[in-house]
Amino acid sequence: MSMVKKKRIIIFFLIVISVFNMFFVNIKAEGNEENQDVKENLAQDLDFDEYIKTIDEHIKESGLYDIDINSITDELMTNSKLDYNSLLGKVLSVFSKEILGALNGAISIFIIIIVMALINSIELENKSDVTKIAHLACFLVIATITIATFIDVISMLKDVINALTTLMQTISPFMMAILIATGAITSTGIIQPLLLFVASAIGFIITYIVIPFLSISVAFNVISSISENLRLNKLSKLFSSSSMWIVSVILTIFLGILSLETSLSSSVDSLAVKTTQTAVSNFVPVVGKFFSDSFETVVGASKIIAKVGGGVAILAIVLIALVPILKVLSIMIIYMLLGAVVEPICGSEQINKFISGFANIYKTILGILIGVTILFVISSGIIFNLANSVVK
Amino acid sequence: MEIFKVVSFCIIATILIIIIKQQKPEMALLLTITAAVGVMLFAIYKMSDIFNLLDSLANKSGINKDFLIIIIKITIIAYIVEFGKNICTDAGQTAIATKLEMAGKVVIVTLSLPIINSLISILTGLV
Amino acid sequence: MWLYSYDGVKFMDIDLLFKIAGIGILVAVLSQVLSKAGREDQAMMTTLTGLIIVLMLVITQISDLFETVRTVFKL
Repeated sequence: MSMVKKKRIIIFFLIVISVFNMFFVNIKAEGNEENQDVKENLAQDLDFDEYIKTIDEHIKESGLYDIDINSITDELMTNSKLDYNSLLGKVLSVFSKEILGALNGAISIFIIIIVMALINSIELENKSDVTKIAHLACFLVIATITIATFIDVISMLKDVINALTTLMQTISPFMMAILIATGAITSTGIIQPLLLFVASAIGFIITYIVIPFLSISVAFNVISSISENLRLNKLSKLFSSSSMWIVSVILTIFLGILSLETSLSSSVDSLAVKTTQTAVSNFVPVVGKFFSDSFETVVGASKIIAKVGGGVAILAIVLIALVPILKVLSIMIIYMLLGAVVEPICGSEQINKFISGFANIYKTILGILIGVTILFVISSGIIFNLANSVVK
Repeated sequence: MEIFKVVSFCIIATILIIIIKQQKPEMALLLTITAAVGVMLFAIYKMSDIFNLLDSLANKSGINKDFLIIIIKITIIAYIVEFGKNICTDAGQTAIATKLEMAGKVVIVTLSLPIINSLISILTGLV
Repeated sequence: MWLYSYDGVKFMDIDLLFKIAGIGILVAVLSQVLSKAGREDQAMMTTLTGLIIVLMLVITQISDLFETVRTVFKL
């Protein structure tokens, strides 16, 4: 080759390299804006808006119309602070509505009980049969009202468990995408089926085991209050506490498995990611460092998205479960108050035991609801934490 | 204090009844009935306040008023049957008294049939 | 004199009590006198008459009771 040609080739290479360098410097100088653009592009790629929209639909279905997930998401994205005051205000308004609703049912029961107390107090001579039958009729009315309330609560329980399960199933594709974007590939492979299994298993167990147990408990309560000879109180309590037990055992098992798997697989993943990074930056000549550094940028952006997405998911879970929890809580409080108020007024013990048995059952239902909510919240938390733990 | 009036009324009635009982037992029985009815009227008048309160509560809370009416009917039937039974037993006619009680029971059960109906329908709705 | 009044219905009528007691004593005395004087049938007639009068009064009272129950409980 002649000297001129050699020179030309060298000059050409120098120009190419300097152009690349300028390009590289430009990228670094843009800094934050670039981060924002990357975030937006990444968000579009991962269908972030779709995700937010589905969560929004779920929340609207469960009845909390005021809370706007979109605005909360935007706030989180920009300055990552949550407006707790307005949220709290809305939650309180829902709570007061539920308490008023439960109060209605309680007032009707209270009226019937006052009438019964009148009968009791005036026909005080002997337990003549007429008064016994009048007692029984009053008790039947009270039983009708309480059982109607119970059926309402049970169907609501079924609905909310369904809603939570479908929410988890909706979130999982997005979670998978985010986790892969931050590099936790092995974890996704393990967590994904585990999570779906947990969600559907909880739904199955609650619908087919826990709810029948609760219904049996209620039936025993009613029977033991109608007839004075047949005493099924302890059996009823046994059924309700065993259903609570089953749910807590399942909670513990699943959370244990989940945390174990995540800790194991996240270390595998960080090893794999670091290896790939080093390999790319060292062995691919010019663009290797560029690629591995931009990978960290992308991971940083997707970490923010993951945080926001995780926060929104947890918020959504809590909000969906909140309305039923508040309702059951208010019903339980009112039944306890009712039991306390009725005890001195009404002489017959059957009403007393009936109402306190019911309050116990509602306590169990509340415990189950809160337990399942905590399960979902903690598992989402663990999974979204994975996103941060892979690439530091 | 109206309760003094009630108590004195009852005492006077008892004294009169004892006086008349030896001469004319049937008159004594009629006196018993009168006195008992009189006191019961007073008691019911006093109950009307409570009952108005219950009524307004029931209207405000919007529950099913049919249940309340049935319960009150059953209560009143219980009272009146008890009253009649006592008077008959006082006169020594326990046979009539027990038959009256049975009739009262039957009527109460008949009245409470709609309640049992609705309870069963709710339960079958659950299953 | 009555001890209580509600919508014009007299409750706890002491007068009524004394009326009935008075009729009772009167009838008792009359029937004893008549039977001692040998008019057994008239004695029985006065007894019956007294009973019927008192019964009328009591039935009025009882119907008042049921009417009051109906209005108070709005059945």
